[in-house]
Amino acid sequence: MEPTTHAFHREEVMAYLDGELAPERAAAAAAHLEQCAECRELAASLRSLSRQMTEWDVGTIPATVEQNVMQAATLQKQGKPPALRQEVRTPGRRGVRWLVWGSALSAAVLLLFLVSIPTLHRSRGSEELATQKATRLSAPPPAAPAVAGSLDKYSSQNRAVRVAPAQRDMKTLSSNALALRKDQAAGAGARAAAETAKQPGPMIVRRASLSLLTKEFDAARASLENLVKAHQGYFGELNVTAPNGAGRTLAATVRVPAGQLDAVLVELRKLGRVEQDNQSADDVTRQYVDLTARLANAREEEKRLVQILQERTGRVSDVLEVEQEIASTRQQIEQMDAERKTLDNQVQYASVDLQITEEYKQSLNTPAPSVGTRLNNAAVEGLRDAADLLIGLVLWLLGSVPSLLVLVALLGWPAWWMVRWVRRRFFPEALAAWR
Amino acid sequence: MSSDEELMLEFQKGSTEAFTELFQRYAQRLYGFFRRRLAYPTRAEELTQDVFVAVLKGASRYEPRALFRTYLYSIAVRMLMAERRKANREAANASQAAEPAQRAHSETTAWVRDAVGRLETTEREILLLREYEELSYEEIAQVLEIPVNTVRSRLFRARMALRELLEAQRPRTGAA
Repeated sequence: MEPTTHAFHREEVMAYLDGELAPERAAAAAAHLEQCAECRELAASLRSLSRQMTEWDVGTIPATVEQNVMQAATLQKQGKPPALRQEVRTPGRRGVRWLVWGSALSAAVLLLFLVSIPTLHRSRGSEELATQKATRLSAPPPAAPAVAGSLDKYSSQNRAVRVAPAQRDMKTLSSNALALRKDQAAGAGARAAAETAKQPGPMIVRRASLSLLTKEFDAARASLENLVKAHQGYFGELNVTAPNGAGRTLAATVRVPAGQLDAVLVELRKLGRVEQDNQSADDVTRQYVDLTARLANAREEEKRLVQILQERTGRVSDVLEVEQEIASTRQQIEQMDAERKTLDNQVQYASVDLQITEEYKQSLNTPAPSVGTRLNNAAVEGLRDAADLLIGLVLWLLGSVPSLLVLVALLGWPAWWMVRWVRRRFFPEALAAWR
Repeated sequence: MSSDEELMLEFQKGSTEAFTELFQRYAQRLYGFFRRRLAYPTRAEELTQDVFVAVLKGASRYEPRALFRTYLYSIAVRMLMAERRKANREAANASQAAEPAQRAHSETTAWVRDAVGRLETTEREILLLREYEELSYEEIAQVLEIPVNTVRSRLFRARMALRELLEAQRPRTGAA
């Protein structure tokens, strides 16, 4: 009998006899049995089987069972719950079972999570820092303040003299020359004092430090460049870093005319949210005046020496000594001149250490990779995480299971013994009742 | 005549008579349940008592979401499984354990019992629950915690297998 060619499957015939078919289907099955000899034969066989099974006689339940159960019921009614020989899960305790399984599942998930944390950290720690460095984007610094250098034309010929300086040899200079220098020193001091008197007001070197946080990084950078240009300043240094997974950062040293520092700072603060704002000022007036006086003296001395060299004649050794002295003086003049230019520049151009940080936005940071790349990356990371998890689990098992087994062996047996002792000690009559 | 579930609810309220009525309805069936599945008659008696004691203890938690007899046989099946686990442990520990003292069975009883004993375990349980405890497919599915369709297909398989086994081992005296 093939179910594909037969109206009723043999299992349905069995279900019909067991009263397990829906009423309509049962009626159809009854009609079918009237017509189908095969199904009738099967039904007869199943009925016969049921009859044969009733041959298995198990006897009658002893009366002691009823006595014991009713005694237990009486105890229960008196508030003395009877004890079982063995604990059994009743269907009403299914909630407890779910609780136990739920707790175990939660513990497993928690363990999985704890194992996965290092893996997650590792996968995110591989970001590389991409740095774009742009230095000195702006125009070179403007010409330093004009410094009188009328003797510059002598520098080349004096540098050509390569004689080691020897201060003690100065004593061997002609008495005329020494006398002349003393006279000149007095006159040079007077002129230096006059030059110093020309310096307007105190010499202040101003510095500022500003940290900003902005959402519009590109706009802020463009505004910064315009701002510096508008105030005739320049960038001493400018670095832009664009790390993956974080906002870009611009670090720059901006030089602006000292008189416009306050205005520049006001405008800079508009570029973003101010996180740090510091200002400092150093008074270098005394240092500048000293330097200017010493420079003037050195120039006077150089001028006199040149005059002596031109007007006086003498031994060749004397001439060489005078030229050596001129070279030494010239070197000092150049050093002091450079120093004074630096001071001038620091006074005239205030320095602003600026840092602009972009508020990190995932979508603005890097272009999203293609779907294929993301799937590939996810698959690779998933495999790596799974491998790490497996290894971590094996390591945990290797490391912890022996200890747990020892603990269970040490604590399990005493606990089991205690339970048995309590049962025997406190519920002996209940146990005896149905033994 | 009150239903099993109504009697159980009455017993929850303190009616001992309701519990006695439930015992009268199911004691013999439960004894047969254990007797057909265990070798020792005394253990069948003890476990029958234990099922009713478990009902006593769990009465306060009983909710008539399912039929009482499903509830009752669920307890019985679990006790049977615990008993079998225990018997397996004891058999492993004491291989020299004595053979169970079998009652004197009739030849036809032994014939059916031996044939049923040759069935696959789950199929045998389904068949016994259907034929002797007269549970519906749905009730068997709940008691054994398996799908109803599985109950039907395995019951059919068990019946076909038993039919062949009975034919093969029919007593020579010619029982029905």
